[in-house]
Amino acid sequence: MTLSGGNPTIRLQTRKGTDINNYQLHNIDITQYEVQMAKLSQQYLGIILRPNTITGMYNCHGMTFASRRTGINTISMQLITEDDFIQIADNEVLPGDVVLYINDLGEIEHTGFITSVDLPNRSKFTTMVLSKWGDGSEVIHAIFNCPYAKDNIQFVRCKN
Amino acid sequence: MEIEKNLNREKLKEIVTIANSATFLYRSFIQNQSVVEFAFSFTDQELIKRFYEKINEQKTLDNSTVIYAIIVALSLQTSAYSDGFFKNLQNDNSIKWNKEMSDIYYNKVSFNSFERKPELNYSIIEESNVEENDTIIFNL
Repeated sequence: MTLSGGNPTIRLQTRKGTDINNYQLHNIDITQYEVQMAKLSQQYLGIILRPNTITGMYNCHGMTFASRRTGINTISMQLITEDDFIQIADNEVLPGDVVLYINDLGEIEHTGFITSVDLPNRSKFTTMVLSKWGDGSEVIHAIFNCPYAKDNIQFVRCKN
Repeated sequence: MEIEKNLNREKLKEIVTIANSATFLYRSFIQNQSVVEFAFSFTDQELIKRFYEKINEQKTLDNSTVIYAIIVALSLQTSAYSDGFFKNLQNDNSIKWNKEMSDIYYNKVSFNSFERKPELNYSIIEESNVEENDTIIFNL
């Protein structure tokens, strides 16, 4: 472990060996984050907060692409491609696939794992996601029921 | 002096909690009316002074929220002081996204939805005084 800026960072690379900038934030004020997550539960009805997951050690991209080892500030399509992810159509999505929330600037604002799909209908509205909300909790939520950009949602799958 | 008392701290704390990146935080803060009003209610020197006071306090979510609000407020002000502030911020490791915030200020990160115009000094105006080419900031 080394320091990048003031934050600890670890060696993290894509499958192709490109370094991925990352940071771990230790010692966040968990009590205050718990209060915020409780408020968000009132705002986004039906979400489930996974217990004991409030941490600055990793964020959504860190959960999705770095096995919860560290936080990744920016994830790009290039990095995702280097990890052999390929884009899949909405009607091909399965649990275990990765969802990308892309904002109006084309940035990947949020990522998470698909946890369940309404297979007969494959309606996006009933697709469930596990994602980490910043330094707050990991959250199980319906795909549109979250505070991130929802106009452009794409799905990718790792081809082994 | 608690110059940040009019910030919508509850909403801003929520943003800090869920922010996965500096750009998300910056864009969300700048769309918050209370941050824009905060930016134009104080001078750059007042904001910088408060930043260094807060940075030496305990690192709570509440303090981090105020610190980021000050940074975003300073990014709306363009002066030698704020330029110097963002230059120093690049190497100030007291906050998580110091370098990223500095990069945003220096337009190393660009936003299509708005553009900082260094030659302009913005101020809040009444709706009745709006003229052609004034800038509108939507509180989304």
